[in-house]
Amino acid sequence: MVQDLGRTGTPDEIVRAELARADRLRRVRASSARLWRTAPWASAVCALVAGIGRVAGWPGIVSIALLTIALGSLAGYVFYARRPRPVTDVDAADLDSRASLRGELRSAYWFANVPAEASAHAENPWVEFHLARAADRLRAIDWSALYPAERATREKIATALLTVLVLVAALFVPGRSPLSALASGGNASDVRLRGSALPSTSLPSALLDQIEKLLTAAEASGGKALTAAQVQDLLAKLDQLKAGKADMPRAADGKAPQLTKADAKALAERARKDADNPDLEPEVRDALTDLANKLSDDPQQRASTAQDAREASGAKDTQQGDTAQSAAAGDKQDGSTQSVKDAASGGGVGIVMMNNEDGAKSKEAGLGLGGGDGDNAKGGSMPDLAAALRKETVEAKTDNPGENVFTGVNRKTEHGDAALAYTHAQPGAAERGHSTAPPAVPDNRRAAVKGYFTRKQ
Amino acid sequence: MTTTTAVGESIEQFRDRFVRITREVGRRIVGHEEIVNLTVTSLLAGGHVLLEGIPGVGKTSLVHTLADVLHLTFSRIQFTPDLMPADIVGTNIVQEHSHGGTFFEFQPGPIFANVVLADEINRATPKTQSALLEAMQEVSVSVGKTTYKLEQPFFVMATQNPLEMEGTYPLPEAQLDRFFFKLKVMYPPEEAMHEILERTTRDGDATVSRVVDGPAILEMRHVARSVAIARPVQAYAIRLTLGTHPDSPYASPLVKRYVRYGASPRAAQALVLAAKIQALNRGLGFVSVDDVRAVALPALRHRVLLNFEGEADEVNTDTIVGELLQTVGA
Repeated sequence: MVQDLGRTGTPDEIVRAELARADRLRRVRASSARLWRTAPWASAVCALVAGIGRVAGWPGIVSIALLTIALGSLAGYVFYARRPRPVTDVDAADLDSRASLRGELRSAYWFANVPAEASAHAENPWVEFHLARAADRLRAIDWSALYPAERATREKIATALLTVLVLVAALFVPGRSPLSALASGGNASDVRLRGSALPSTSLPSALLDQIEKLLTAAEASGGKALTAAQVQDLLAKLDQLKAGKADMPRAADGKAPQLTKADAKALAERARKDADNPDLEPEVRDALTDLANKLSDDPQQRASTAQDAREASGAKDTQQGDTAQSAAAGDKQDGSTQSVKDAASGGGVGIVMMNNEDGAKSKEAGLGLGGGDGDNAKGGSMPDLAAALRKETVEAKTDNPGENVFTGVNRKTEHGDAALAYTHAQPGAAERGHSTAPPAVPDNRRAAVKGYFTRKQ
Repeated sequence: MTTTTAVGESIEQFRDRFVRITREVGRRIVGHEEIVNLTVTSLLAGGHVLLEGIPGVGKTSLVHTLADVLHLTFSRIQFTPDLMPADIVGTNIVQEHSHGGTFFEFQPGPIFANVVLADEINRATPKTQSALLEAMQEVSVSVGKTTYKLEQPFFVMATQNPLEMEGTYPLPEAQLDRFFFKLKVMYPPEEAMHEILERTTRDGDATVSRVVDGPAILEMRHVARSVAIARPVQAYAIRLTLGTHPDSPYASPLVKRYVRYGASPRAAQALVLAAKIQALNRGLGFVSVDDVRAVALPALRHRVLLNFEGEADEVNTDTIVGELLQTVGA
């Protein structure tokens, strides 16, 4: 259309139209050249990021988002570069040089754009002659030959291949954290939990059989035949497997049936259902809960469980006061608060849990009543707690002040532990913990905490 | 359509005459095509030329030949220290009437010619130089209470020798500015030397024909001033002129360091006018940046005044203008 307008009309109109057309061709070519110089590199960067993401476990959406941003930026640049805009004198000079018109086009374009009424050259035959000659020469110029379309075949192929590579890597190549993880609403903490999850799809067949037998035993005859030791043994094996120490043939070797995620989830559900069986011993129920957690492949459920445990521990601390140690080992405030209370109370069950004269065996408090387990990140299990309580009860009955109980020594020991607790905690935090109540249980967790303690009772 | 056709014919006629002039001059002057071209350009622009070169390179021959080709009156003034203004412009002489009595009669000097060769102009005193330069600028001379107009076309070609500077009176900058071009006549190349020897050592001299007369020159001057020049091209000429000033934003590093005063607006006029003639000489009716660049050196080199450091370092103004052409954007 522009070309048609440029072929007819007065000389100044022809000059303007032809120059606008030539300038558009020039900008199209320049933007295409820049585009196809940049696009392969942008795609290569996206492909590199996609590859790294597969190895590092980044979600595939990162690669796709990066690719979209890169392609969008390039498209935006092309749109911006090719937008209609007035031709400047610099543009005219460039076009003039390209067409080897020796300044004629630049000069004619200026005369063609000067308003006649404002120009001293109005009705100047020399200007008219100049414009007419320039228009004739412009009509004879094949601008599309001067500014041919950018071929860039190799760049286009490279860009297409790299783009496909990015998409394949992001959508079809399984990574340590596939796209479905984020699609299902996972977050960073879930990903961490997933990273430490039990490799359920490669459980040894012997272990699978053991799990099956154990669950069957728990479901049969009210679970009377199932003991906590059996479940504990199974959990120990799972822990060894998780740590890579188990010397068992894997199911993934092809000789044993492959355990799918659905199977693992089903087993976890069975274990969790059995754990709710009130006929079972509390120790067995707790062990089954742990088993369900280990087998479960649901990060939300695992995270929820972990969160429940932490919050429940905090709530328990609040309720039991100086009887219990803080379960959240990283929670300095809770820990310091309990230590201060212990030092002030100077007796009770908490004293027994704190320490004894054998300093070498003394360890930090664990979850709930079963403190002193030695594992900072993990609280004691219910069987441990029950055993500890029984022992404490027996000791409390047998110990009488006088001959075999050195109250003074114990008090010093308690005081020493309390001082140690102070050094571990920040002084300022400890003061605040002493004067203020622990944080309240969130409303959305309150039911879970209540259910946790209700079940244990 | 008629007007544009007439313009086209004017351009063709101008170009044809220009080519014929240079071709005829070239029959006698060898190896100085560029000098001939610029000299004719200056003539058609109505300016005057200062030719600088060592003795024997053909400066005087060029002027002689040009006068012959142009069918114009020619006079030569050999400038010496004892030359007086009256020797140039003329003087009133007491004459006797046939019937008795006396009266003053003006005897025109050699300045009253179409083409004047002021040979070795720097050997005359400033007073005499001023008489010539006033005539160049005003195209008239004043003797007593009477002013005499000089016949057009009036074209002065002054020469000066860069050697033997003792006992000379270098032209002041204000007077140098009145020359349209300053052309440096260099030693001819080896090939041209062969041609010069063959032409000048044989029996007989190369004859030139008169191809253009005075009215034709005046017509060509009129045509030259009609050429259209776009504002961006004119702006380039202005930037070049301003760039010779050390405090200008367009000044090049050499200008800032070595130049005391830059070119005057007369330089910009010379640039544009000479560029128009160059365009016509190419058969075009518009001025391009290349035309301006082609005449920048002869139009600016004598209008750049060096400072003490520049004089001490013997900086060539051609170098300064050349750098300016590189730095000032078109």
